[in-house]
Amino acid sequence: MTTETAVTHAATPIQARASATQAEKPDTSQWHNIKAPDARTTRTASVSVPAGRRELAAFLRNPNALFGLVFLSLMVLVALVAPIVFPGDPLGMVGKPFLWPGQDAAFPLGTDSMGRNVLAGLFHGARISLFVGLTATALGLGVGITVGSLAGYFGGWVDDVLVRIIEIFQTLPNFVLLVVLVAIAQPSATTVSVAIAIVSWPMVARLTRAEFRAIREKDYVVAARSLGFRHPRIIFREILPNALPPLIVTASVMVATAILMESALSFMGLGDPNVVSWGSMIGNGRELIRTAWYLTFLPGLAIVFTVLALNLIGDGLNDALNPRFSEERS
Amino acid sequence: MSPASSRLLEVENLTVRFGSADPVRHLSFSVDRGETVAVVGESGSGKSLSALALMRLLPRNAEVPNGRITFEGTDLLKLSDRDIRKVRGREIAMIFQEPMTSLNPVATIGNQIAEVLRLHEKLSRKEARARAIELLNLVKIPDAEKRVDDFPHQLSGGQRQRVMIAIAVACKPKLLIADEPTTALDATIQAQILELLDELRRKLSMGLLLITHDLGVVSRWSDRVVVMYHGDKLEELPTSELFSADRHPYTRGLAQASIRLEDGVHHTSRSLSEIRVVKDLDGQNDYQIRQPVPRDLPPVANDDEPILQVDGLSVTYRTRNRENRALDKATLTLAKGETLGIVGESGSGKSTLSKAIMRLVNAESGSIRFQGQDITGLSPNQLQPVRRDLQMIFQDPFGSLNPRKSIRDILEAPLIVHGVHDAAERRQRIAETFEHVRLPLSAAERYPHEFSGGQRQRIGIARALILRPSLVICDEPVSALDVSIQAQILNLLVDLKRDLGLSYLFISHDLAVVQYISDRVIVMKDSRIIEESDHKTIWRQPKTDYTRALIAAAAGGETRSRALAS
Amino acid sequence: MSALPRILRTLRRTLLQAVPTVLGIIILNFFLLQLAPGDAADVMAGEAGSATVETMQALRERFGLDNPVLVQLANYLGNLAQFSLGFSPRYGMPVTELIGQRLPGTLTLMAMALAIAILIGLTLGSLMAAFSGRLPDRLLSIFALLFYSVPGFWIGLMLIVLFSVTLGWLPSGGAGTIGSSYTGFAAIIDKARYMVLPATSLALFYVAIYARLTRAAMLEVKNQDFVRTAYAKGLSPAVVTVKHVLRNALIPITTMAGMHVGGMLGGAVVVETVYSWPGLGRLAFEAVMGRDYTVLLGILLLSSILVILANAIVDLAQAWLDPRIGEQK
Repeated sequence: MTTETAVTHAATPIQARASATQAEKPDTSQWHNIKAPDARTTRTASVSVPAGRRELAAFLRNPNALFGLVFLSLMVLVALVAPIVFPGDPLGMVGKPFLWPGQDAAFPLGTDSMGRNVLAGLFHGARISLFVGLTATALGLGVGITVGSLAGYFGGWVDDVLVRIIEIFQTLPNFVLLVVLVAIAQPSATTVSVAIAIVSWPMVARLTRAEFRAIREKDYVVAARSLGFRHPRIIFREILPNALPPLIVTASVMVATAILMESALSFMGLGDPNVVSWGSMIGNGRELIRTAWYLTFLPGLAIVFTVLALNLIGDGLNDALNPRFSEERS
Repeated sequence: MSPASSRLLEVENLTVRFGSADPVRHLSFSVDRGETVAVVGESGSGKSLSALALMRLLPRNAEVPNGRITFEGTDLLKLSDRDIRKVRGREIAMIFQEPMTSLNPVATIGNQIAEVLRLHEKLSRKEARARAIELLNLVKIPDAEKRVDDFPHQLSGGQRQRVMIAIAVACKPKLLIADEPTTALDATIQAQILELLDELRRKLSMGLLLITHDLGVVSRWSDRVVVMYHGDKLEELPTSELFSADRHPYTRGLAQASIRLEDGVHHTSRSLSEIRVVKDLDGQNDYQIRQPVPRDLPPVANDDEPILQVDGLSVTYRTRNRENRALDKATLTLAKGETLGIVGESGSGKSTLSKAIMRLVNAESGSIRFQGQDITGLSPNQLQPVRRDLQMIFQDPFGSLNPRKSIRDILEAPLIVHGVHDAAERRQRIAETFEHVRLPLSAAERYPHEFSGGQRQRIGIARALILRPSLVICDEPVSALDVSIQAQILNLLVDLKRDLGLSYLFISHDLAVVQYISDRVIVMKDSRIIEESDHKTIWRQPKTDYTRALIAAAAGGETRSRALAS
Repeated sequence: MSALPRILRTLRRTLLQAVPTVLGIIILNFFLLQLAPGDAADVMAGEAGSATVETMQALRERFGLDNPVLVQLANYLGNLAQFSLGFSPRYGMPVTELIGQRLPGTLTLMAMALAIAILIGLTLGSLMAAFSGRLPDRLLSIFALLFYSVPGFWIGLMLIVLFSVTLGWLPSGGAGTIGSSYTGFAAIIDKARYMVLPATSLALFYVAIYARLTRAAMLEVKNQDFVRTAYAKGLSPAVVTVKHVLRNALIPITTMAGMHVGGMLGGAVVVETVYSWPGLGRLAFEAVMGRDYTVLLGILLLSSILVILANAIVDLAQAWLDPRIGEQK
């Protein structure tokens, strides 16, 4: 054993406590470099545990995040069981039109102007919302991370070109471009997902690029280069794992944004005409807002709560993965 | 004990608490008028927190459960928020370690100085500005009338610290707290800032509380010293007795572990003392000093072909609209088994030199011969076998290890990349390297954040050694470490050099460290090598004014260097 | 020292950088136009109900739709150079003129929404930062997150239900009382009554964004060393917040605010359809329904230029706020 291990022992109880109670009690101070070495020994103790166990624990201790997680799981369940619970076409007429919620036990949330079951619509709508949200996010992340990491890692002319492209896409107003793309491609769940991915990847690319540029300068990456590691190994093993936390947070917010975009498209009548979606339900109920406002109100609630759940998860992840910001919340 | 009237500040029984931890425990000390008291300690000693506690500037989640801070007869801890604000900046002022971030980037320095004057002395805008210019003159910023409207980013680090001092002394405080005021600055600037502080202390008859980790600074500028370790005050003593034999063992250890330029210690003459702190059965700290026996080093083989030959090496960094010659025609040779020290201040090009030799940045012109082979233009593929023999140790033990990989992964990856495909052999090599750097094998499954700075630096060294290199470039390997850890790492480097037959290119801004470890020394300034000499001559007969200035600064200003020369 | 030269340098740099972006957008725009299925002639023929191959051909020739792609691109660029975005066969007028009619409506709506969002967002964010970790912060954080999760079109409809249908306080759509002869102050009041609901629906999301941004930026700045310096001077927390924290926090806030202008334009599209607000958004919607791609892409192009302008303004604001920007080195 070396001598400074003994020195560290004295510090260990404080460190252990600091990392154990990290989520609710900040470790050192609000001045982040109160004294560089002091602060850093305690801070790094809390920054990153490999398997992410500490992050997971912090996430699960956050009641908001937990609520988000539970609600989202419920929505996923709803989407999965929709065809079993409501086997028929949710667009088919099943009852008397304009039944208010509670009026008929067979249709707990009522029926719309065409006599369609609102509850069945909500269940099936969850499918499309989550499908579009997840597909668009996966595509957007894939493209964005690829472009961003190439630009950030290699720099030089690669960076110049890619940044130009990112800039062009970021300058085009997202939703206007989305409307144009969907109008040109003819709406379907897939084209809507692809279109949303096209408008959302630049943000991921920009974020990934910034992370890569920062991490590229770290000594452990310089060390990897001086050890003769090849580019793929440095990108995937050294940089990417350290760039992931903010990207994970972004992913949850992207799903939320994608769901909002899809609903807005469907509301405007630019969604897939063959499936029921929360947005199209609101669009259909819109003309009847004076007489049957529940037709717009209910699907809207579904959107709000699903998106809220995702944003709560995003916030929870952010607090868990970047303890620096959570400090002030204690 | 001095008479009560001369007592400026009396701290009694001060404890600082964060949750259930007390990083400062039962601290008592005092400062008299016009006196300089130093609080010295390594990281985690609680010295900076104590300083903040005096100003009641502790973070919100900290509390002071007991203690008294009597300043001119008033207990500062009992003052209302409103009243303590009248003390801050007027009666007690403070300057901080990081001049680069301690000034508001969007306000002019003049306004930042004027702000404190307008607050406490109710000066008009015009009067405050005139006083700000006077103060800039006082802290020796040239062209004060013009610079008063500058923003902080237009000033160098040393100048910013001068501005901080101007803010601090603007209202002629009775006590000035300086928290590591020169740690972030180059040696030549350090000396100037400390001289300025001392001069102002005399002019304004302030008490000065100097918080530092640097025993050199303490011994030159303070009257009394308070030694702290992990929140406890170990002892308080007059500075003159700092290096005497009957001190607290920790103080003695600290004094022996710090290398001072004027002591002229060299690794061939003696190894450095290491401090060992052990908790005994009662939970009390037991402090021991260990001085490893110096061991013989084989003489540098001068007849062989040099291991490294750098000839006219230049590097230019280009961004879209700027060109920066970071290295200008550097020429050097390094013999097998030799340690070549490179000294220079920030921006001198020493790090660029190491990166160019490592082929991490491309040379614009010149050549690098390593073990007889010209490696200047090799492709990444051709470089691969060279890299095995040429490795690097980094400065920041916190930034140089990938936080998401276990120590085993960190050490195994280079072996895999370099074609050691047999898992058993890899395990064997890792075990061997652990032994070299004196880490327990159990460390392999842990992650970087679980280690202290010194241990991480050992891991960084292990990573450099795992490929069994012949030349290791050490880029400021001990600059981020506490003195006691620095001694251990330097001893380790010396041992490794002997055991493994290494050659070192050792880069540092710290002259004493370079003096200790090097066989030959190169001085760099403004991207150029300006002087080269063997390790004895360079300190005694420096050829250039710049080297003389560096030595003077490291030895504590003009007076010291004259004393040294005579 | 004056900030003006710095700001001018920034302006020049920003404008130079915008050139390739604009070019890229124009070309992208043109190819999107080519990708669009059918053309305006098809649509008009479809609307007329009866069209022979000959009349279709005549229509195509008239609008240059039968030329090869590169010629069309050249024509397109040539037209753009004369500030012409082409001719809308459907509306029977130049696209530039058409957009020109609708632009002011959207700009007023956005300006109002932006003002609401910044004003309320900054206030809420500062409050949240001041009470960080305590009850007011937690409550406001949840509200911000809720606003952040609500689709603008839905909150628009709900506001109509509450304020127009149930309470009858405010009109449910349009841009002014039709056939009214209000003048002066009364006209402004009338206009404002029509604007309150759409602007609020559009602003809510951005109130949330700015509040969260402000909170984060203020907390970040509060941790900086120079804030500690300010406290060490003996300044009161209020003075420190206003004089040292806020100004520095505004720098990241303006960057982000600039990045949201494009988003707000998109939001306007939806909100305008909800409130039948005569702006670009409604026009875009009508163009989609009518498959009038010339108009649609004209809007896309113009709104991109709007975003570039907004970014330029943000750059200037930053150069003014931050002395480190636009320094000559």
